[in-house]
Amino acid sequence: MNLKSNDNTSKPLCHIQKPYNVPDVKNFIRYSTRREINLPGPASYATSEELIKGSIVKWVDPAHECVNDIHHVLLKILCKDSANCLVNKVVSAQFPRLRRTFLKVISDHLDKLKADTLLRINEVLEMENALYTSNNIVFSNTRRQFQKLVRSYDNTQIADKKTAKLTAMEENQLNAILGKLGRSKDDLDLIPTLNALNEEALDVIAGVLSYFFIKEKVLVDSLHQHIIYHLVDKYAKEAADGLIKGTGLMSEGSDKLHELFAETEEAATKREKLKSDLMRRKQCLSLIENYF
Amino acid sequence: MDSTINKSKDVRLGNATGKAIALMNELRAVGGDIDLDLPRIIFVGKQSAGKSSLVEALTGVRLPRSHRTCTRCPIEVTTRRSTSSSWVCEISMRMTQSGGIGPTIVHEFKTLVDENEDIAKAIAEAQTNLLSLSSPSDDSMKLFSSDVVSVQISGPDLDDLALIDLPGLIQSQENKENEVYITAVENLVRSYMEQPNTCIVACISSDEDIENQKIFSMARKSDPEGNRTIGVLTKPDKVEKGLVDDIVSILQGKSYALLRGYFVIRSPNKDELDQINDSCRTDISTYLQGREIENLFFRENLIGKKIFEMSPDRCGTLNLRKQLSNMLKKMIDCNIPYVLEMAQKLVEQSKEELHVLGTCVSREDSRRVLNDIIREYGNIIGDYISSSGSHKSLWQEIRKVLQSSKRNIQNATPSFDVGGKLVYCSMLDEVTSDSVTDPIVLNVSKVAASELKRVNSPIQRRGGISWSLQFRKGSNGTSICVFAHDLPSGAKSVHVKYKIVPSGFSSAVVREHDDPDCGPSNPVERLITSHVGNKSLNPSGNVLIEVYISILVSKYLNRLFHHVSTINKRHHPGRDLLLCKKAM
Repeated sequence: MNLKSNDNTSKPLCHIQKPYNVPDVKNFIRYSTRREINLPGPASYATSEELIKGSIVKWVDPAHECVNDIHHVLLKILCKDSANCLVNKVVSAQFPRLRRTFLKVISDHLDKLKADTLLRINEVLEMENALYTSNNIVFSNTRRQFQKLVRSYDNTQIADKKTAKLTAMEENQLNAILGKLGRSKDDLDLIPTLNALNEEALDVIAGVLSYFFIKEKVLVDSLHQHIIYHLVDKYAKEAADGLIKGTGLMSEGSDKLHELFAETEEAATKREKLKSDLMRRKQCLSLIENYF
Repeated sequence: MDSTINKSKDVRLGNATGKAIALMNELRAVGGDIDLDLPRIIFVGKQSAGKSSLVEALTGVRLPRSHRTCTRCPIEVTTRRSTSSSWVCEISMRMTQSGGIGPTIVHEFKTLVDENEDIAKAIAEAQTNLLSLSSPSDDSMKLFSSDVVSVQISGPDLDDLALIDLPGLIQSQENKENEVYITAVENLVRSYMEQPNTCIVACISSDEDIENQKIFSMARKSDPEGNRTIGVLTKPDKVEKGLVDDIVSILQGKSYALLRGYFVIRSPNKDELDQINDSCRTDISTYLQGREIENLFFRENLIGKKIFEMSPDRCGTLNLRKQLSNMLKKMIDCNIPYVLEMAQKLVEQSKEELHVLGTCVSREDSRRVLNDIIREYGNIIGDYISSSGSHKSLWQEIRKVLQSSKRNIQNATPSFDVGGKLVYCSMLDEVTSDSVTDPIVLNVSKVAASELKRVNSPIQRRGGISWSLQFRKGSNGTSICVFAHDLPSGAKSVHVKYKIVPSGFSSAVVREHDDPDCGPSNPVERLITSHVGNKSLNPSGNVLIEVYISILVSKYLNRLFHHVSTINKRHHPGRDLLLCKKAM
């Protein structure tokens, strides 16, 4: 992205803080290396495309942030939130090794799905760069509405120098210059005037806004669908299989599986004491009940 | 005074509660006193205060005697009247493992079936054995132990009773290294005394100054009301003639008063005991001889006679037995229901704790159990995904993330400043071009802090302005209030009131009252009425309509405040809010 604005001369477009103003857009048009002049179709296609692409780049971070946040939510609810997480509810504290194994298998599984999801998200965002089209009927309608809106806001009143009346001396000087260049006065129509540039900038703004009017909704929806499908739904489908593989339920022998259920020394001692307590207390209860 | 031992029913210790005492003994035998506070009688006092002699006098069981410390662990003496004619004495050691937290183990030490056998010697051997077992890694025996030597004797001529003879409090140790035992014995004695169901028999030698007896200060701390403490003055034959009045004064409760009073007991001294042992072969004979000596003392000795004349009911072993019997009876009667209830609770508690700990998984079961756990995990994940049952937290959290993500993406979408007005792509959704071109009109008063506490939508921040919605249920419908908060001084906030009125199967939004501050062109009102007013949105009630309006107004205000804030930053730097140009 090589467009520059007058306020942010050295910054690439994706780093310019919004909102852009009309002079910014005019600058983009002036410095655009692919600027079209008086061609049919939407005004300054290249500028609009660059503005759109530059803005789509800014969607990458929030999209990635969303993936990371949902990954974090899954980790928290499933295996990282101490006593309340699902693993701790399902696997008793007396089997710390099994808990650790579950935690690692689930974390690794979610990490892998997160990496896959990020790839998908990047693809979706890259797809947005592939083609900028204005043929969509909704796009055309909204473009007209935005054109009306931005024109009603625009308060720049620049006189059309092209139609301004020249003095005789000015007229002579102009003709002399044009003669030296081998041009006639009619060729002036091909040179955009200040007012025409302003109009073009407003058209670019309306075009970009109408594009994002649709794309923002579509993209948010699409990104969220991808994240939910590739990260959440897929994990739900693969969770049990992942644990079966990760714990070696089908592949390991009984000895190896039994190791997962090894109690801590503390738990074993506690169990022995509780058993002894229970036996003693039952004896006492029996003696007292017999007494009555 | 009768010279024979009075074995009439009224003075037999525990006769009325023989069965209950037997139960207490059985409970102790299985370690029930670890968890249950069982009624007991303990004998405490200084070293050589005559505790063992007193226990001997009360039970008729000869205990080890020495001029130095002879009781080095708690000795439980239990006598039971049996229906058979045979006499049996069982001596055992009850030891607690792992410093008191492990299970109680009973080691049978010796069973004597002949009354002529030397019980004192057998008890001394059991005590020695117990002390060595308490520190098996140490060649030199441990001096004291909290483990128990239990002596249980049953015979046709015995009373039902149970007493505990505790080691005497030590004043000093020859070896400095052994001074640790002074505190250890004190702690052991105190642990028994502090049990609420313990009757404390505090023994003091009559020739010693009662004021300086540590055992009384300990008893006062453990039993501040004095309900459980009885004082026993031993060795009255050693009292100087001039001090007899002091003894009488104590017995009559005139000095050093105790709620349960004092008794004077005369046990045979060592010379007398040697003579008795030479002449008597059985414990019973020894017992009878001992009582005879005591009777003679109170009948013929000048000191004894004087004490007896002044306080006859406070003299002699039999009177003490009677008093102890009454106290123990009351304690057991009061406590058996409680002990039963406690035992039931403890059994349930142990079961619950074991249940919480879970069961051990055998090698054979490990695959099945793991499969069950994985299946359960998978099922719960399914519940989380379908948000069923109590597993709604996942989607609640995900929804928050998605909402936040949507806002972030919207914020990253380009917007433009055209002619000083902000233009952004989604503005076509929420506001008409007219409302945007109008100057922003905000009209208002600050909301009191108390109001804020009742606000039931989270306070949101946008463009330096905080705002929230509040729904108030009332008999005439639900009011919606839109509040702005934390405004800088001089700024105003929005305060618009509407009412949702149920109307047949629909709800309508109408303005609650004609507030002069809320003109008809209020944009929030226009927004709500244009979307909701007089439309049938929710046939089932107001909840959905509230949510709908909440979303609608939230969305609008977010945009509005963002717009205001952007313009303010550009045109009114330093001010957070654009004040109204036109009244609402």
